[in-house]
Amino acid sequence: MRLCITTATTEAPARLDRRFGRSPFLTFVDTETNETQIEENSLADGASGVGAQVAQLVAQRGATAVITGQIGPSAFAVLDAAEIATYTTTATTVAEALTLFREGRLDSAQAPTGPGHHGGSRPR
Amino acid sequence: MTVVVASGKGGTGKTTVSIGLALSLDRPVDLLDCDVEAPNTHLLLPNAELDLASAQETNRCTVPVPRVNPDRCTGCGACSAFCGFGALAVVRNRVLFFEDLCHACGGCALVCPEGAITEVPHEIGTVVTSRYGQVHHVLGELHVGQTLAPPLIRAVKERADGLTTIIDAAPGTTCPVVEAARGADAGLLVTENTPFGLHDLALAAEVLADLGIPTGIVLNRAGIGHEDEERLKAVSRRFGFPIVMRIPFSSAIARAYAEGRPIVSAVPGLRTGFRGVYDELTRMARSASGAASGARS
Ligand code: SF4
Ligand code: SF4
Repeated sequence: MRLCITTATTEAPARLDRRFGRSPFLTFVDTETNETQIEENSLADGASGVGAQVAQLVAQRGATAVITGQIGPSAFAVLDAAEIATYTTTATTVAEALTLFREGRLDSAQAPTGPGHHGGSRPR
Repeated sequence: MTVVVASGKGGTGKTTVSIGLALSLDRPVDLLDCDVEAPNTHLLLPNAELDLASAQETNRCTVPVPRVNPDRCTGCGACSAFCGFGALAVVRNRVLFFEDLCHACGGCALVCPEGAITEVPHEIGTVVTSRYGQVHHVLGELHVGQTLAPPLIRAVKERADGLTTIIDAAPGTTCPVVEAARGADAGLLVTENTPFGLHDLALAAEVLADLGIPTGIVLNRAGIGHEDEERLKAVSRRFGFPIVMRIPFSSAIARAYAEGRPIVSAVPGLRTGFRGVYDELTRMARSASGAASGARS
């Protein structure tokens, strides 16, 4: 499966960014081959709707699971519609988050963890 | 003439000044409450009938937002790619629409190659109209959770039907302030002489100066002490905005304010003061438009 981890810094040890949407990088990991791609998040500085747009991008990249710290309602709704599972963690590095995921120790989020930044948007 | 009343921050007495001015002019006045996120002119007008429930007329203000016909949509993503506000996301051939991000620009419906998007009205607020003596009072109120103030502000402004219009703008320097002020012939900036007050005054002055609106400064609660007259004058000089009125700090005014009565009925002489301000603004607006047409010719 293809995983997406919100990433703050890329030099080792790469740090996990707790925010879904505004993280400067997105790390994609293929859990079978361990192949890793780091993509700069070109949407991070957008003025509005960043969470939903990044969620759309993650879906376009073919990820089926996301690991992040916290996620707002719009992003969650898009990931949910794309049938992408969201796992939240307090891990501080990408490697640590991956290990926890592999060991099955991450909980999948059933609901957004925060109100979002524009009042909490839900799609129609 | 249209006068916009603005302030750098809330709580300076902006609404008190708007109403004071409206009630002082001996003629029909359109008083437009364009502070649509927190309208309060109705609370300070001196009659109970003017509360929102018993208004003469309430109109719903809607904006057109997209609705996707799933039978036509192919999930191509053109609408989402177009929307600069991130209000549309397309995943698994399904369009998700985030209404509170939509600016009702209509672009997505235009770019959809399948004609799958139609526009449906979405209510963002109400426009309430009532009359008090010579004052034709129009108030816009955004619904809770709605953020699209400019279309509602335009709807309020469209209701002005007389020769004299006073616009109560939101405090601050945000885009609703620009929308409220746009097209005004003259402006009033209400401030207090405190360090924060003067700082925010300069920011608000910049907005009105950018819009080319000749503006006078009203110093409210004058004489409370610790005032920095030099700094106030510096702001006034920098923008060429004269200080047109000083409303003293007085217990009569404070009491009227606390009781929700307009200050012009509480303090003798204020009416004359406001009329003087209006005359001064009229002169300023005339010479500004004269200068503008002179520059054009
Ligand atoms: S109307 Fe404009 S702002 Fe609203 S969803 Fe369509 S493109 Fe985006
Ligand atoms: S542009 Fe039209 S067809 Fe394409 S995804 Fe949007 S609604 Fe569907």
